[in-house]
Amino acid sequence: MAQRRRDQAARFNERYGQRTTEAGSIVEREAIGANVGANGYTTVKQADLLADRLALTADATLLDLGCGRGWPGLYLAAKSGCRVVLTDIPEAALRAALDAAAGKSVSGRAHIVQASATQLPFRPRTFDAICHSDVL
Amino acid sequence: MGFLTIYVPDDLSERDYRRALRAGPSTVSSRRRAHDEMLASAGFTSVEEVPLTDEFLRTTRAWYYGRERYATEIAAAEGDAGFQERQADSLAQLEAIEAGLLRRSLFIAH
Repeated sequence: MAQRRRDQAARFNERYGQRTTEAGSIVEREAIGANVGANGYTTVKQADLLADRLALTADATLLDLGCGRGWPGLYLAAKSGCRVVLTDIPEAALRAALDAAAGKSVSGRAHIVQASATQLPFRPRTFDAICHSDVL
Repeated sequence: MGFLTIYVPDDLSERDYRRALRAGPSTVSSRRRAHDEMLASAGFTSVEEVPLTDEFLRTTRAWYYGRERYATEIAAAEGDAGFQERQADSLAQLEAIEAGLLRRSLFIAH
C-alpha cells in the first residue's frame, strides 16, 4: 500500500510538472470549458454549481483539498471574494497553483499548504467551507 | 462541504465491481457504502446529490478524442510511454462509464 502511494505521488508529480502545450490547452478548453491547467473532469459549469451550493461570501474561508494546480479553488475564490487555502501533496502542483494565484485577483487571499487530506494541520472550525474534486 | 467524486455503483456484480475498479482513476472510490450513508455517519445531517455522470462521459470523451487528435504534439511533451498509458487509462474509463460501471456526482453536505 505504501509503495502504491509512493508510485502514485511520483506519477502525479510528473504529470503536474509537465509543460502545457498549445494543443493541450485546446483540448482542455474543449473538455472543461477553460484553460486552468486542469487535467480532470470538473467543468466551469460544475464549478459554478459548486460555488452556488456552497454559498461562499467575501468573508468566508474555503479549504480546497487535493487542489492540484488550483482548479477550482482559485476560481471559487475569484468568483466569491473569499479567502482560500489550497492543499495537496505534489510540490509541482502546488508551485503551479501558486503561480496561478499570482496571476489572478486572488493573490492576497490564496494560501498554499502542502498536506495530505488525511492529516490536515488545521484547528477545528478554521474553515467556513470545504471542497474537493475527484480526490480520495 | 461540497465535493465532486467518481464512484462505483454499489449494486454491481463482483465481476463488474472489479472491472470498475480497474477502469476508474487510481483514486476512485471503492468502498461499498453509499456516500450519503458515509456522510451521515460523519455527522452531516443534510446531503444533496447532483448526478453528473452524463457530463463525466462527455468530458472523458473530450479528453480522450482531443488528445488523440493532437497526439504528436502532446506525446512530444509528455513522452510516448506516458501519453500512451494515459490514453489507455482514459479509453478503459470511457468504456466503463458507457457500461454503467462508473458514476460521478456532486455532493453537498451540511
